[in-house]
Amino acid sequence: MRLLRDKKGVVRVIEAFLASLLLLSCLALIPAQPNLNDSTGNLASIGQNVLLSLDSNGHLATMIDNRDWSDLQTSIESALPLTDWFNLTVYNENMNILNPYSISAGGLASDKIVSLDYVCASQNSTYVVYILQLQLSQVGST
Amino acid sequence: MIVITALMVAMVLLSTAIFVIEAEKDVPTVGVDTSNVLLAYQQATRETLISGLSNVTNGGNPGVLTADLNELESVIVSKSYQSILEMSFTPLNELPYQNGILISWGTTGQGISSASITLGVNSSGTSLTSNLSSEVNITSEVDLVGSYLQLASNLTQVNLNVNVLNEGGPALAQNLAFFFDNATEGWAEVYSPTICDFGNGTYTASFTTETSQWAGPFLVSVRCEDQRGILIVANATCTNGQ
Repeated sequence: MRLLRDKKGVVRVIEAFLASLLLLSCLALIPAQPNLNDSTGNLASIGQNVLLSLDSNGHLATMIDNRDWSDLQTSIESALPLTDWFNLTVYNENMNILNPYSISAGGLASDKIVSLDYVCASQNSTYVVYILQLQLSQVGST
Repeated sequence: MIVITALMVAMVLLSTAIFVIEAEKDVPTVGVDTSNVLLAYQQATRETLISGLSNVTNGGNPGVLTADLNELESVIVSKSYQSILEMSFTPLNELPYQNGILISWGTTGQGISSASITLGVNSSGTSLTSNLSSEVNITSEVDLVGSYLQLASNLTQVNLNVNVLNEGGPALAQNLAFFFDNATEGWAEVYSPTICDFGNGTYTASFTTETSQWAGPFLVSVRCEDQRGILIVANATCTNGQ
């Protein structure tokens, strides 16, 4: 009974309670860390899958062997979503650019560009390694 | 006093969080999907084996396979900016393979051209370590079965059945050439045989020759180049179809 009647320190308890409330609300206000790589990672996966599927029977390297740039552009364009922009650069193993003009399609609608490298090899008896650099961007990615 | 201190701590926490979020927005991102990347390495290795096997079966040096794989490794490793990459290619050296290559162009109707290696990839990135060890095998096979029919005393018709396989599945041929064992000239090419392509890796061919040209058993040979440019040869003895 004596303890219940003793009101000393109540203010301190309230103060501490308010402080802890303040800290907790601050932590709650900090937004959950957005995963910035989600959209770009997805876009990169799409690009990688497109190149991988074109390369599945060696068609990708064959098109490059034959310097068939328009077919290469059409193939990638038809495999990617219509809303995507891409730009492909083909290098030989000495990093010299092989495509004489830009292989690209779509309008660049975002400043977020994903770049991925893909290595493919020619199936011809004359062995050549190509390095493809595919840049991708998607409408709506910010 | 405690409230003021808590307020200051809260401000520090908030400003730190905002700084980190803003700083991450400026970091250029390069897309990575490790599983797809490893698949791409596997595919490039397959293409390298096809190229090497095509070269070797057409008379090239067997050492070209190792040279090509080394070239591929140097390109891939030099382009790996996001992780420390180690690649290894171990050619299969168990019989009948030798230095990863098997060329078995037998006389029993089966011809095999094959290359096999074990690909090892160890990728260590900032947040992920991946290991891949897989066998990469390229096998082109042709099976030849033949029979002959004595049409007249000096005329024989030969019927051949050819099956082309890639990795055990039906595959198409790019070129087919047939030969028979000529009594005087040895192996002689059959000109203008009637070839029927069934579109599923099965071909039939027939031709007629003078019986006197044959040297004993009816030996035939097929020289097949598949769509990948790999050469396969198979020899067989024709059976009497009558």
